[in-house]
Amino acid sequence: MFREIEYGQGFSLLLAPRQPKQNELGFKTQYNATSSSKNDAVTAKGRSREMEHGSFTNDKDASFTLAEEDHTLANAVRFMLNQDPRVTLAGYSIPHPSLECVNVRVQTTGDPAREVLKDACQELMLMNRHVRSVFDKAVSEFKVEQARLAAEEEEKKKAEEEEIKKQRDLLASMDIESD
Amino acid sequence: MATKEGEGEVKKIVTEEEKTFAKNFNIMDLADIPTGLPPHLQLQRTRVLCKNDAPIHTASVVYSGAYNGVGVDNSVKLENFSENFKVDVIEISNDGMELTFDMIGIDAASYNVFFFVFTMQLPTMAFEKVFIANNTSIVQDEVLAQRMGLVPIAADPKLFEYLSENDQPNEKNTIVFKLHAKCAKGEGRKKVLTKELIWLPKGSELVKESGDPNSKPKTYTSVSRSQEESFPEFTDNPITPSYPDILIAKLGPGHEIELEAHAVKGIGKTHAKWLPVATAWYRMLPEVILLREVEDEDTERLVEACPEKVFDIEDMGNGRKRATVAWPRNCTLCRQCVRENYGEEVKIEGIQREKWIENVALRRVKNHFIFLLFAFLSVKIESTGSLPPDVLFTEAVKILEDKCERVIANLS
Repeated sequence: MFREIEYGQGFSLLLAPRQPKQNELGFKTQYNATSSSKNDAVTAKGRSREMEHGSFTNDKDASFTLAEEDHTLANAVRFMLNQDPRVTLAGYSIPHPSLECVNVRVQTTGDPAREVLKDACQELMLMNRHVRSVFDKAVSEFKVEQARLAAEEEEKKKAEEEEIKKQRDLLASMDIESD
Repeated sequence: MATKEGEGEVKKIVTEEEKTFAKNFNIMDLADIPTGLPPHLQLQRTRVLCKNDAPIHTASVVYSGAYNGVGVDNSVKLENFSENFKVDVIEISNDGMELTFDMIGIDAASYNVFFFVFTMQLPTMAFEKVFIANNTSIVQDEVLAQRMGLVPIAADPKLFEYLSENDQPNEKNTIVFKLHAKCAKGEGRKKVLTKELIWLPKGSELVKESGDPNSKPKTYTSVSRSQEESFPEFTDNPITPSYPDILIAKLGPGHEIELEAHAVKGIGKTHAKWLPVATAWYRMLPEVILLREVEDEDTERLVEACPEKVFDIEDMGNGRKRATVAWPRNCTLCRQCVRENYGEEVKIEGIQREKWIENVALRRVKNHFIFLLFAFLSVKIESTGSLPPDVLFTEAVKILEDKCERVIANLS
């Protein structure tokens, strides 16, 4: 059920034990390994990218450790989690500012915590896409509007200049007559 | 309602109308049962009240069950968000480098994330290593190098790769510039501007010293193909710094600077020289409410008090005047209009004038943000591929999406 993953030296020892442990109370620490190299389970510094600290028997409350993350993602995920009605508690903490990792705590009303966290990330992604599309549309509309206004102004200017020219010609012709 | 027969002496006969009324009756439609939040809670939830000493209700109420006691659901579904979210562009400057827009319907945590990513995680190109061959000016080497690092470079960072410690600097991850400035004896003081930085598409010209006299001279970059060939964007448009008139150093007579600078890709989190924007700030939309009718003499004082000209006088006829809030957007919350000691306390007919603080309510709307972004010019205006702030914003959101995807992939 669990795969052992090799860790680098140093900080990783503080973050994660070498083997998945199960103590008397039935708590588990599960590591994840995915196949794509970009989303490698182990980061460049040898730390596991994501860990879940939970219980074997009760999977609705869990803490997650995300490596190489900071307030940027953690605050956004915490916000989306809080909006979900299935969540009773959601929060994040950064154990030490020099260590690039975030602990996210999720407690739900029955659904497995991992699923709820996944849903929150999914919603965050969809929300971002929506923001992006709305923003692009607004900017392009504004630019079109500006171009239109600029064109109108130019036409007005041209019309004014022509009028001025006409008046000057009129004056010039009047002068000739008087001569 | 069934007929109540045999209940005491009262017999009720139910009409057809009453029956249909009973069928369609819904207790929620009653006027005195609250369907939304009571107005004072709604005010707390959606507005920051800026009192005289400090703002209150600044934290946004996020938790979905916050108002369970009142029977109101505070959760936000994605569909509701999509319906309510709006972006209004207020202004784009002529060269496209300054952008002001409004985001309505988004919460503090979410917009802060865009801001974080926009400033700290977007890559740019900036000078990282400066090889100084000769520097007889009064500007010290390290000061000169630090100044070079802050010079913005007009190159699209998407075309380049990151340079890590183990990589060799080559044409795919480094841009090389040369600077050779001299001030001859007898001349006056000379300014060294960024327009004297010359791009070297064929890589570094400085030769590395190696102990072996017979080997081919190596330079500090291993460039296989000239950058002019490998990047079609730069074939006719040489890479230059964003602005040609930035002052790097000043030379007195007889001084000389000869150096080579290598620019690499990086993000703002590592060092501020890699920030893609010159200024990026946001604020919540200010809301100014007049709690009391401000009439006649008071209007003049109120209008004069505000340095941002938020208030205006409205003539009501019969020579009477009234103050209105004309341009609440300009309000900077200087609180001049609610200062307690403003003006003199006047006694009219023995009644002391009320303090100003009771006249005006200064608030901020919690989910309406005004952004101002001002970016460095990334590419010359004539060429394609410029990176104005709107493009940068889209990039920032994409980076955030990538982060989410990574977390989701790791969770499954």
